[in-house]
This record gives sequence, structure tokens and C-alpha cells, in this order.
Amino acid sequence: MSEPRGVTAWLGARVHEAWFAPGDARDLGVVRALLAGMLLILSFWYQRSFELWGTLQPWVWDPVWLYRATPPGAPGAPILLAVLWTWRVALLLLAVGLWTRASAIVAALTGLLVLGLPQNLGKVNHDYGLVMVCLMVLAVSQAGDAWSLDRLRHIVRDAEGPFRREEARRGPEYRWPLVLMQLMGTLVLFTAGLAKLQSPGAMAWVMSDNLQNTFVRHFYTHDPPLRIGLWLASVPVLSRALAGGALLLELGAPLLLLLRGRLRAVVTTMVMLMLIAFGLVLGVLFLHFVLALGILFLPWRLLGARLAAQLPVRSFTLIYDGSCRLCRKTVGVIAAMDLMERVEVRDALRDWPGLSGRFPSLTQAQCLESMHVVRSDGRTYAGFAAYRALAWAIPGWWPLLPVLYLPGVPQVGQMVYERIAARRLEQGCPVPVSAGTEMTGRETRS
Amino acid sequence: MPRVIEFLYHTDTPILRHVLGGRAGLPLSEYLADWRARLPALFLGLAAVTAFLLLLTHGGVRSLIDRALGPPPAPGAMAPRAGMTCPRWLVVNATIAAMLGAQLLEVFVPGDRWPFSPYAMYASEHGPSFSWRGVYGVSDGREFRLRDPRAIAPIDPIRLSYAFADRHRREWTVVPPQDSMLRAVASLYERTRLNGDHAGLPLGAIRLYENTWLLRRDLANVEAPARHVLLHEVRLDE
Repeated sequence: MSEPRGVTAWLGARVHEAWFAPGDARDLGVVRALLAGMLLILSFWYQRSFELWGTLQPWVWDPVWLYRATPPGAPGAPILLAVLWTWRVALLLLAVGLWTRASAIVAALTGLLVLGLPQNLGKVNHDYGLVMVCLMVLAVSQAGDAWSLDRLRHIVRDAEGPFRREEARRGPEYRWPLVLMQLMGTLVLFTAGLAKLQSPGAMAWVMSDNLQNTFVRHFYTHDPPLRIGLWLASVPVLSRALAGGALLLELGAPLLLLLRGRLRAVVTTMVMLMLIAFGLVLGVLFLHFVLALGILFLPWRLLGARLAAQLPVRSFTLIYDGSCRLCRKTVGVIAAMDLMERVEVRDALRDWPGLSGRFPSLTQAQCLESMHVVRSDGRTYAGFAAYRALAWAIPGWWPLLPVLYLPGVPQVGQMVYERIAARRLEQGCPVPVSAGTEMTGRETRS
Repeated sequence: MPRVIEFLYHTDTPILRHVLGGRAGLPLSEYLADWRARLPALFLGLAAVTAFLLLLTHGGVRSLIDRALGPPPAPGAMAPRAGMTCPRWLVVNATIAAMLGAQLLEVFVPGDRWPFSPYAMYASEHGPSFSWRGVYGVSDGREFRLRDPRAIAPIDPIRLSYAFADRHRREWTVVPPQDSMLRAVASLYERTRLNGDHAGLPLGAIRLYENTWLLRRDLANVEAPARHVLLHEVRLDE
């Protein structure tokens, strides 16, 4: 139990904890990658005619506050195209986490034009609000410290000393951005509920024919893809129950911040399904908003771990020369990309006493000369074949798998491997124990 | 507060007007009505915060929360500024304050400050009838509503309707006459037609209507509104 303290100190501690308790860098990294990836993919549909805004005369121009100081009308089509592609490149870099801070700032600034410009043209589209806010938060955050190429670059740069599998990076810098984005998402829903309390009032909104009329009305002004709205409108009890449920979910949205684990996932899914269902029934689907909610609130790492546990992917023991800096860099990158934690990394020098007992068919000299990988069923790979075997265990390498099995690729790959291994010896990474080996580039069973 | 709004409405100080969000383009009664509409939410919000703080003064409530969330960090366990440098701490707190402040401003102060816009999610009350501005094209003497987004891209029919309906609400730009707006729509239509984006015929005229419908679940009257009032017409074949 906590020690007794005054309400101000207690509240201060709680608020501080809520915002700045140590968070996991991987959680923020996943959100960054998914959010930027989602915006990038959707941009090829939602912004496919973006440059056309530049051909419009300012007859429809009604600026939101951000644009009131700018001349009326959109910039020309070539400028819009340039900005759009800058945004897309920035989103791609942000998704993979390369030059993360810079790409997040560029994505946020260009996003103000790409996502913001249409808001000045007749009507504000609320679909883009939350994702724009998230881009601004990411620009200020340290979102590139995990699940990013920046992290791999950092590992390669700092490959001094013996290899150690990285501990999960934790700190307040990985919590507050996530909490802020989540809070902004729930506030959008909460203010929607609040708006219904303001006018027409909860009872009037839920118990009147309001939602039934809304369902039917949208067939006059929009093109709803489903006709189920007409049926719902004919069952008043159902419409009212839906209205009540929607209002409850909206007003209760901030509670999502307090929920954890499975319960949070279930409630988030319910909110997302509600928004998708209303979107299909009314013909107005706020896809960016719905997906952003899912990205912010679903426990992605937990889901990933569960999925990884189900996948029929074998585990491997990777044995490398721990005295070689190049090998340490390589192994550091492999370990950082081993998201399913299927690869056990062992140093052929430091860990040999244990390894020799486990893998009697291997000699230390073989393992020092080229990287060896032993699969859980005992099959052993060396050189290029070792990399190819590891590609099955590392999700980021899966797209390469078909290429690695193409005729000729193993031969070229082995040649490249041997050349790099030879250069490693020339560049001051001598094999500490001299012994001949014939194992590179082939598979054996121990 | 209504007196303050009235005073600000009539005052001519440029800075004050800027803070207020531009020219007072609407009648005073609209600003007062908007304030009255937001009053319950403001009252409710203040009441909820006050009630929550009052509840927290009770040690039992705090213990209950501690049991649910786990004990709060001990006073010594919290690093000053969460271990961040002073400038970084300021940036982080300024970001949080700016974001939350902007979102809360949207709830209580009239306006639409994208990307913090309040999204009402169909909060407006809808009765069994409604009115809607619709733009119609005329080809070969046949009149049709411009509902195909491909025909007027990048504008969509909903945005188009709002653009005409909300003309009087625009406070920051010189609103063009309906005539030139309709001509602009016609030129969009012609451009997309020549591009082959739709199979429509060339327009002889373009019209703006105020439609009023009585809602029917069988949708039998979608193309036959109860009232169909011509507001403006532009002949394109003259």
C-alpha cells in the first residue's frame, strides 16, 4: 500500500506516473511504423488526385485558421505534386525509421498541406484530424529508438566490446507521446458524445426518431454502400439501442486509457466496429480515424508475440567469432531484427565450452572461420546458407526468401560471403585459433 | 458572459477582433445562441472536475484507486523532470499543454481549428424532412443532379452543397457570386468529361436548387423532392 500523503501530492504523483512512467520504446516504435505506413498506403487512394486541388479557382475557398494568412486558393498543381511526393517519401522514411526525427518533422509539415489543404475547400473533413495530430506529436518524440533502421545504424556504429542482446529500452520519452496521442483520440470521441448532450440532449438523441431519420436521410445526400440503414430505420427499438450504445461508447472513450490487455483490445475493437458500421450504413467512413484508433490502442506487441508463437518457425543457434568487430556488428543487427526471438546468439570463443558439448560435430575453428547456424532439428548451416536459414526466422527478411532460393543466387551469395570473410581477415579480424575447415557454404546434420 | 460577448462584438480593437477569430460576420444573436448551446457542456465539465476533486479528498477513494491501479510512485522514486534535460522537459510539457489546450478550446469556444476540429458525429437533430442545396446540370433539356464525384472532381457533391449553403458564413474571404461559382462547377464538369472520367453529355445550363424532402424509407422520392426551388441558373449555350 502507498504511504499516506495529501491529495495534492497523491494527484501529482498519479499525473506524473500517467505521463512519465517508463514506457517501452518498442510500443512507440510500432505505433510510428504502423501510423506512417497506413498514411503512406492510403495516400495512393485518398490523395490520388491531390494535384487537382491546384487547378481550382478560389471560389470555394473558406480557410481554416492555419490558412487565413495565406492567399486564397491552393498552390499550383506542380507545387502540390512536389509536396505530396515529399510527404510520401517522409512517411516511408518514418515508417522504416530512417532519419526518424527529420522525416517526422517533414511528414508533419508537409502533412499540414496535404491533409490540411482540403479543409479550406467547402467543408472540414474530420477524418484527417487525429492522424495530423499524431504526426505532430511524433515530430517531437523519440519514436525512432526501436523498430527502426536508425536503431540498426546505432547498433552497427557502436559494436564495441562483446555482443549483448539489447535490453528493451525504457523511459518516459516512450510513454508521454503514446499517452498524448491516445488521449487526443479519446477526446475526439468524448467531444462527439458531449456534442450530443449539448444539443439535442441525450434523451432526445437516443429516444427520438433522430437516428432513424439520419439513416434514411443519407440515402438522399450520400451513397451508402449498404442498405441496412433503411431496415434499421424501420425498427425503432433497434435504432434507439444503437444510438444509446454509441453515446455510451463515446462518453466512456476516455476510460480506454485506464483499460489494459484483453479488455482494452475488446473495447477498442467495439469502438472501431461501431465507427465502421456507421460508416457503411451512412456512406461516410472515416477510415484514417478508425485505423488510427486501432493503431494507438490495440496491444500490437502482445498480438505479435501470440502470432509468432503460433507460426511454425524453428529456432536457431547462431555461432560467431566474438573477437571480430564486423561479426559483432552483423550479429547485433540480426539480434535486433529477431522480433520473434527465435535466434540464440553464441560467441565461439567465450561460449565454446558449453557449445562443444551441445554441438559435438562442430569444431571451434570452423565456427571462428565462418558464421554457423544450427537449427533446432540439428541441421547445420554455414556462410551464405546460414544467412538463408536465418531468413526463415527473421520477419524483416521474409520478402528476400524467394530471391535467396533462385538458381545461381546461393553460388553468388557464397562468393560474396567468402570475399567479405577474407577481407575481414585482412582488416584486422584474424581467426584466433587456426584450423582448417571445409564447411563454409554447405549444410550438414549433426 | 453574454454582456462580454456583446461588448466584444461591438468593439473595434483590431487585436481583440483577431483574438476573437476575425470579423464578426454573423449577427450577434448567433454568437449568443452558440454560447448558450455550449453552456451546458461547460457547466457539466466544471461540475465533473469539481466532483472528482472533492471525491479525491476522501482517503478511501484514493485507496480504492490505488488498489485498482497499483500504488502511486513514492515521492523519492520520481526523478526530477522525469530525467529529462530542462529544455527537453519544457518542450515536452509545452507540446502536451498545446495539444490538450487546443482540443479543449474546440469544445468550449466557437470555431473550427483544424486539426483540432470538434467532430460532432451526427449530433445534429434530424427531423422527418430536410432541405439541401443541390447543383443540377441540364443536357438536351434533361435535368440531372450532379451526384457523381468523378464528374466534379476534386470537389465532391457533399462539399459542393456545403460550399453553396454556407456562403453567408464565410468570414475570411470575399465570397464570389453564385453565378461564377456555378460556372466554375460547369468548367470542372467539362474538364472531367473531356478527360473521359464520366460519360455525361455537354451541359447546356447549370442550376442551383434548394430541395426539401419528406423522408421515405422506400426512397421513392429521392429524385422528386417535395419542394424544388430554383435559386440560380447559368445558361452555358448562349
